[in-house]
Amino acid sequence: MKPNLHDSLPPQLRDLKSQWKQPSVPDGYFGGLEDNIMARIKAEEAFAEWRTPAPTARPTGWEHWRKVLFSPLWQLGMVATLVFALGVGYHYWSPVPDESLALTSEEAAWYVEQNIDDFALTTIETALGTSLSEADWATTPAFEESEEALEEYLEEYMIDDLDTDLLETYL
Amino acid sequence: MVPPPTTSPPSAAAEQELLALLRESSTREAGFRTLLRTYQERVYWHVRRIVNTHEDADDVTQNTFIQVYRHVEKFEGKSQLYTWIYRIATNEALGLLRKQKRQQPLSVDSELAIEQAQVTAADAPIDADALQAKLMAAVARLPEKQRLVFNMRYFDEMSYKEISVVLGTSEGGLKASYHHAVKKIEAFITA
Repeated sequence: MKPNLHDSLPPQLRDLKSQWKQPSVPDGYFGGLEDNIMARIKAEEAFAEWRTPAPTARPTGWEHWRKVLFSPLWQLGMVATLVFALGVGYHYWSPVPDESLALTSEEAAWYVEQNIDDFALTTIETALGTSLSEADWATTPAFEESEEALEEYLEEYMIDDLDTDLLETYL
Repeated sequence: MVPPPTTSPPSAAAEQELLALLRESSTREAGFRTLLRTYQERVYWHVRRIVNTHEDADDVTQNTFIQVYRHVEKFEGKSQLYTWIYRIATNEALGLLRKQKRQQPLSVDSELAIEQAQVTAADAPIDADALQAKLMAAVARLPEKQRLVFNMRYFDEMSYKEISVVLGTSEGGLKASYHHAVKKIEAFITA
């Protein structure tokens, strides 16, 4: 059997316990305490909700990218990058207008004739398809030995191109 | 004479049912109202014996249950629900007393309470009421820990184990405190 908690108390204290009279409380206090506490809890919750901004859901997927792509800062960055890329592309890959292609064959011939000294020997050789080196010149007729040979050569290759005064000086 | 509230706390199974209601958002308010109806009077009288005035006891009781409402989801069930509530109530009540003491370093309130209890005890005829007033005066003169232990043991009929959960001290120390408290009160009453 469980011993009484107050068995060990002095008799006066034991008797007092059984006759104990609580201090007074306002009428109906305990009847309204439950509602008072609940009202305070609801008021505190409402206040806390009012103070705390509603959490905005973090956008996901397309919604997230749509927000990023349409943000002014992002758009400005994209435009700057595009302009830079176009500039670089234009600088490196734009076709160089080949004005020579627009020349007629007569114009090209005239240009070469006027600027023959500016062309490298190899370029001329490539264009003519023949060698112009000094070794090859040996195959030309030995004009010093024969005037007839010179005349024949001139007649065959150059006579039409020489002007008359110059031809007379040679002859 | 009104007998003190000595109704036994709910059984462990009833507490578990109550906790289940409190942890479910749809039944939380209903569960909490049940908890209030079950414990409010016991908690009020426990607090009232610490702080002396009804106004302070009312404040502390309300604050205690608001704390319970806020934190009941974190209650792990390592102790009984009602000892956990008592612990919160005790801390709230002692916190209020310390706050009042800081505001009034001479502890006017507690001195007044002791004096009032002594005057009432002296003026009352020698009957049960006078004896009760004398007991209250004797309890008011006790050191804080002895007063708490005496109140919980004498009025709330709590076991040393339960009191040790509420106060966070060893059962051996509590037994010694209670013994000293009873001796002091007996000496005061019979003087």
